[in-house]
Amino acid sequence: MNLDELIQLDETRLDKTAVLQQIEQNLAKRQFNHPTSFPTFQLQADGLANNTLSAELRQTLAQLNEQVGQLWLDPQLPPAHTITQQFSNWLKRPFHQLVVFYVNKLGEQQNEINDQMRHILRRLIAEIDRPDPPTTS
Amino acid sequence: MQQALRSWGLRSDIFAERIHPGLQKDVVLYSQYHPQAEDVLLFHYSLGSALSDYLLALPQKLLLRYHNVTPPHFLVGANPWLRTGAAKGRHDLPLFANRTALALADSSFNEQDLVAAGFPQTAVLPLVQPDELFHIQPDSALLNQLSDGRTNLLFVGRIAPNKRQEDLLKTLYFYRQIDPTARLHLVGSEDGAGGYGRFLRTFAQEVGLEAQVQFSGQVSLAQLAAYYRTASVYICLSEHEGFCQPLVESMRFELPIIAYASTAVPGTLGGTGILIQQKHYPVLAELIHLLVTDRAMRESIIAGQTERAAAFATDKLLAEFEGWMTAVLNN
Repeated sequence: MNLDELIQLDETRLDKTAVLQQIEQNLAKRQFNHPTSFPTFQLQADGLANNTLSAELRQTLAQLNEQVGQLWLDPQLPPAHTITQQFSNWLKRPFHQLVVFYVNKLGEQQNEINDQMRHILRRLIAEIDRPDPPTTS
Repeated sequence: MQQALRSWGLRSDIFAERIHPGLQKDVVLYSQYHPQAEDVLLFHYSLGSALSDYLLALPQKLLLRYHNVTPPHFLVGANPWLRTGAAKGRHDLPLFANRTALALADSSFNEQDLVAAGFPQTAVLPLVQPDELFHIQPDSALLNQLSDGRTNLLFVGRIAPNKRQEDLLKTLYFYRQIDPTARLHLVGSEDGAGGYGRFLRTFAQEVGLEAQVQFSGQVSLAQLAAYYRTASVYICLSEHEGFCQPLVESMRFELPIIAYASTAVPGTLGGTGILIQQKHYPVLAELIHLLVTDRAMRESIIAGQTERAAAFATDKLLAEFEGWMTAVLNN
C-alpha cells in the first residue's frame, strides 16, 4: 500500500508528509481486527457450510435471490386522464392481456432456468472455496 | 431555477411524468402540457422515459439540463424499473444531440458524456441550489438528540447501489475500533432502493452495527440542517456521481469531507477536502480519526473547502444561467 498515492489532499495548506507519517504510526500501533479485508460471511448452501464469502459476493448473491422468480408482467397502459384516453385504454387492454399471457408463459420457464442457475452458482462458489482434498499418491 | 426564470419576467411551468406527492401543487403531468410555438423547453435529463420520446417529437426550442444517468449495471438486482429507465436514458441521449439548442451539464464530468454523444453546443453550469438550507433554523429536537457527545459520521444521498452505502458501514466498522462512540447517519430517501435497502440493514445487523447506523429516510430541510450541524465528518464512497451536491452543502456547513475519487467527485471538490484513490478501510478510519482529533488539520481542510464553495454561490450560478438563457432565447 502506497499511502502517498492513496491519499490526495490540499498540499498548499497541509504538510502531506507529516499527515501520512501520522497515519502510518497510528496504523502500526493499532491492532485492527481485520487489517486488510472486511469480515466474510458463512455460506449456507446445499449443506456445504464452513465456506466464507466476501461482502461483495454475498451482496451479489442476495440480489440474485431477490430477482429470481420475478419475471412476470402486468398489462402496461399509459395513464388515462380524459374520457378519450380511458376509452382508448379500454380498447387496448384485451390485446395487452393476450400478449402478456404468452410472455408470462415464457417467463415461467425462464424463472425455472434462473432458479437452477442460482443453485449451480451457489454450489460452484462453495466448491471453489473448499480446500483441496489430500492426494493419495 | 423556476423562481429565477419568473423573476426575469418569464413564464415558467413545471411538467413531469411522475409527481412526488409533496410537489402536487407545483408540478403538472406532462400530458396536460399544451405546446405553444414560442415555448422554450428546459428538459432535466437523468433517466430515459416516455417523456423523452414525447419531447423528441416536439418542434419547440429545447435546452437540455444534463444531470447524468446512473450506469444501469449499478441497478441490476436492486430496481428493475430504474435499471430500464437508466438503460433507456443512456441509449436516448445521442438522439437529443441535434434536437438541442444548448446542453448544460452539472459538471465537466457530465459534459464529457454530452460531447461523446455528439452535442454541438455544451457548457458547464453546476447545480443551482436555493440558500434556504443554510439559513434555516435546524430542527431543535434532532439537534439535541445528535449533540450527545458521540461522533457523528454523515452521508447524504438516496439509498442506491451506486452510492455504495455498504462501504460506509465497513468504514464505520473499523472506525469504531478507534472511537467506540461513533455512529453513522445515512440521510436520504429509500424510494426506489428495492432490495438494496434491505441488504444494507441485514449487513449492518450481521456485523453488529444495527444500533450504530441510522437510516433517516427522507428528511425536512430543518432536519437536514441539524444533521450537517452536528456531524464531525462527511464521508462519501459513492462510485457514480454526476455532481454530488452534498459535497457543496458540507463545504458550506464547514464540515470536513473525505471522499472516494470517482466520476464527478474530484471536480466538485476542486482539490479541497481529502480524496482517496482506493477504499482501504483502516486508512479511512485513521483519516476520520485525524479530522476528529487534530484541530489544525480540520481547520485547514475546512478553510480550503470554504474557499471552494464560493465557486458554487447561488447568485453567481444564477447569473451564469441567465446568460445562457438569454443566448438561447435570442438565438
